Amino acid sequence: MKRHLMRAVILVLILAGGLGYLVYTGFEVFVPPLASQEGTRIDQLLRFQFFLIAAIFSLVVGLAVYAVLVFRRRGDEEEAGEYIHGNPTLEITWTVIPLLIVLGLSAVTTRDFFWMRRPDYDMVVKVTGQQFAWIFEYPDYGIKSAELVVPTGKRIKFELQSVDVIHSFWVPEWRVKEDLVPGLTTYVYITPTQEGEFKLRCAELCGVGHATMRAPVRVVSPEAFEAWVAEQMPPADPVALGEKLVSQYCASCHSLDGSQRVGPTFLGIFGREVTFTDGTTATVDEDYIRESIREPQAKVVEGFQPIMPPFGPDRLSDEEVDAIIAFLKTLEK
Amino acid sequence: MMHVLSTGLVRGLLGQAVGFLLGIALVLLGRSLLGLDASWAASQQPALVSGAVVSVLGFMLASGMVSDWLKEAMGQPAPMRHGPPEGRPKWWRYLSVDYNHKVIGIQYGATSIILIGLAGLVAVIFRIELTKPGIDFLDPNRFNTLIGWHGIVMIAAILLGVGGMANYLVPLMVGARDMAFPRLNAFAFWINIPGVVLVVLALFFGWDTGWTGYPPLGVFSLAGVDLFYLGVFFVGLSSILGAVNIIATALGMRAKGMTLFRMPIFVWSMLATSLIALTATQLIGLSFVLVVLERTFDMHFFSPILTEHAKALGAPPGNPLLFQHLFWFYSHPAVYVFVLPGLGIISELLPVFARKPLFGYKWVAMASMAIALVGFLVWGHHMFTSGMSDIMRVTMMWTTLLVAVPTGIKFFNWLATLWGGKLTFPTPMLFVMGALSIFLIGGLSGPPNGTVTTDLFLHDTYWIVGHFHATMFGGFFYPYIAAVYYWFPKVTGRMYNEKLGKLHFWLMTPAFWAMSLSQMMAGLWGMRRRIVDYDPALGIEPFHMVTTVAGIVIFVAMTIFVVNIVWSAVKGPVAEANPWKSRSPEFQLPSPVPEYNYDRPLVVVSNPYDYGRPEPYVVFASGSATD
Repeated sequence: MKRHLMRAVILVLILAGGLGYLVYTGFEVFVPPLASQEGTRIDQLLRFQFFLIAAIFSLVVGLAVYAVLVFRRRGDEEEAGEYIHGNPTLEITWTVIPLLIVLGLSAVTTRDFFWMRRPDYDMVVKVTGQQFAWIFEYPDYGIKSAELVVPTGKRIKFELQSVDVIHSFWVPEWRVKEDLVPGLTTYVYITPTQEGEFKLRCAELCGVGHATMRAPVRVVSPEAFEAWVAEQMPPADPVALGEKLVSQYCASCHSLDGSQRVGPTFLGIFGREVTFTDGTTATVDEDYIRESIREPQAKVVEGFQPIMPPFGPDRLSDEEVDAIIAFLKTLEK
Repeated sequence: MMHVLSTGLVRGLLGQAVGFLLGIALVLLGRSLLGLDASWAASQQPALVSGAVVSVLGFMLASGMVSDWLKEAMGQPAPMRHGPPEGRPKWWRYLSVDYNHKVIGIQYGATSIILIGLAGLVAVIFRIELTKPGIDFLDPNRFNTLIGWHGIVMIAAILLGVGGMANYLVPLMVGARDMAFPRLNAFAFWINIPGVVLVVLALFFGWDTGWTGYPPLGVFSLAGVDLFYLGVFFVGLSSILGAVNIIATALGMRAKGMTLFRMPIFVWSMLATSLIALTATQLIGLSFVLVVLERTFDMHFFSPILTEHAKALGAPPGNPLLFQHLFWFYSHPAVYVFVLPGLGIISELLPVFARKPLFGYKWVAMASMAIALVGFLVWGHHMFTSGMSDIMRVTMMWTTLLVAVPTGIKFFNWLATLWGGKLTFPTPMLFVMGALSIFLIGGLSGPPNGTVTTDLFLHDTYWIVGHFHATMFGGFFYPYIAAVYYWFPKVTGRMYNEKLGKLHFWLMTPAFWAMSLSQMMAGLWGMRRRIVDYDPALGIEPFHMVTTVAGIVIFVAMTIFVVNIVWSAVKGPVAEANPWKSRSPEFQLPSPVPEYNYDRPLVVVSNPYDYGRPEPYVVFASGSATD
């Protein structure tokens, strides 16, 4: 029996060595490049857990494979296996060791989690989610943006709010995610460490446009961030303002290039003949666009779902609606 | 033809259709009497809710399920009818209300396999959509409906599968002639059918919340969501009633000499399962009914965004997190409702095919109870990113990871049972070994989601999809399939085809491994759950290709399984009474099992898994059973 156990242990060790080597060399391939300070603790723990998985997997599979290969019934022999009912020492061993491992994991994670959530930060960005777009506000600078631009090296508190359903804030390279819950303000701290372009992706099913609820994320040097802030004063030209607002509020559902999204495309929208779900028709003009923004359900274009949220004066002023109209007029086919 | 029309199933479905129309008519009539807009567009939502509720009453009345109770309520005698139907073909009782636990077990099992097939087919459809980036043939709303449908129908199928195994096996294993409450048992099965019909109808109206139905999205969702919520409510009701019966049977109807620690281990796992189902299912039923009330009567339990009407009434805003707490308080323990019976099957079958006693019987039994109890205190790990308080997240992590301990105990005892055995590998044993391998990856991929910080990364990604499909396949589907092959000769009196069984196993197992690992990798690389289209920039297309192809192979393998059991049930070679040389009491009976199981009382004289010992587990007392 001892001989069997020795051989099985060798099999376990070979397996564990191979899998451990795979985790050791391959971990960077398993996960996207890391780009936040908070994520370092996550990657450390994940890497440790992958080693742990490799070890336990090898133990169980090594013993099971050995048993399957060696402890088979040969020929037609009818005898039974060894009459062993159990072994209290073994039972206590494989109860206590896993217990210690999970308690250790819990303790380390508790420490890391409170470290990640410690309430000190250098700047605030307010994130508002709505079906199916993201808006970023910088209260320190009075800026609103559809693109998330942040500097490296600053610990940012993202204050998360939703105007309709639950969304979730996630940039895979930053690792952490947190839900946006209507009625609550949730938060997450991130210190970007890598410059570059990333994507924010909604990670909680939020309806028909969930898959494409993304926003561009640009991490820049602190100097470049200051320059960006200076550029962000609202444009005076209505067409430029309109373009900005459309990319902020509309473009995730209405394409500008004629491609098919959740809502009708804006390409060549002015003067287009449209048929509504109730069978009536109209030509798109300023009043129709104004109504479609304020009360989208009043007339729904045939072939589309009545899912657009209304934008009241508290979210888009009359001037901003006029600017959107001015921009849409430029989108001729 | 007349026989088909007279079955409880057909009459029930007709009753349900009539009830549905009646319920709709009630609302339209009520609205017009009250002077409200009674057009279909304005009344659709309350009309469907009313139709759904009345339709279930219609089904239960027309199927004949409640006839005996109505008779008794009116003071007429309604004696318990047992045995094959008079003047009808043999199959008739399987499609009608019947009180024999074995008939009900087969009804549960067959329904579950049909639902597994439908939900699997739906999975193949949306997997084909996901093979490449871009929207090919499923619009986003249809995609969302299908993923929610796949999830909830699989859950219903699993609950029915558990019901099938429990109903067929528990009375046989404890030496009883039937369940403790045969009429309640039949009711618990039949209430599923109208529930499932509602969920099927939801497919045609559409809903976009996934199977979790989270408000506020659920509050604003398409018309199908009410049918989904209500359908699940009735399936849950079945689960509660079934659990009452299992507990009463296991605790109250055991044969002489069968102390708790001499019960077959599957009975232990069903006892643990039933304690969860009996006490936690109410919470999902409650949360779903509250959302339906919110949608129908504008009651703001969960949605913080008030309608004008609610504002005028001064209603306080609702809280979306409240729903998640109620929902997961059941839906996490539900995972153990699915896997504990499966793990019980593994523990039950391993000794038979290793010809050795189950190693550490008491530890395995107590591990089931420990999982069931700890399982009540871990629901918050589904909410680590939900905005729940930090303290709550950490607390739920400590409890969650504890589940690994009893799960580990089971694993190590299974290994020790294999060690030094005389193993043989017919199809049921192959599936037990497959279950071990798949449940292992399902289990080992768990702790990274259990520790809060790493879960902030993994939550709502395909890593999770890979993780729970592995736990469901390893913890339920593989053991369930093993159970079907293992008890097939006992149930039908015929033998399944061994070659097709092995083909089924060797197609499905590598495919499942490939599917699981590629899902997990896609998740690590940034693939989110529940999206119809993914960003080609993530570079995850190869993983999706593998997942889709593997999914199709699994579907083909399951088709072979169904062909095998259906064909073998009719044409298979006649089986011996005890083809596995099992010590379990049901294998001491002829196949198929007689109407009343045991004609003489059982007496337990030794331990259930003492393979290699001359004395049997049970002997039959002399004299006949006279209840």
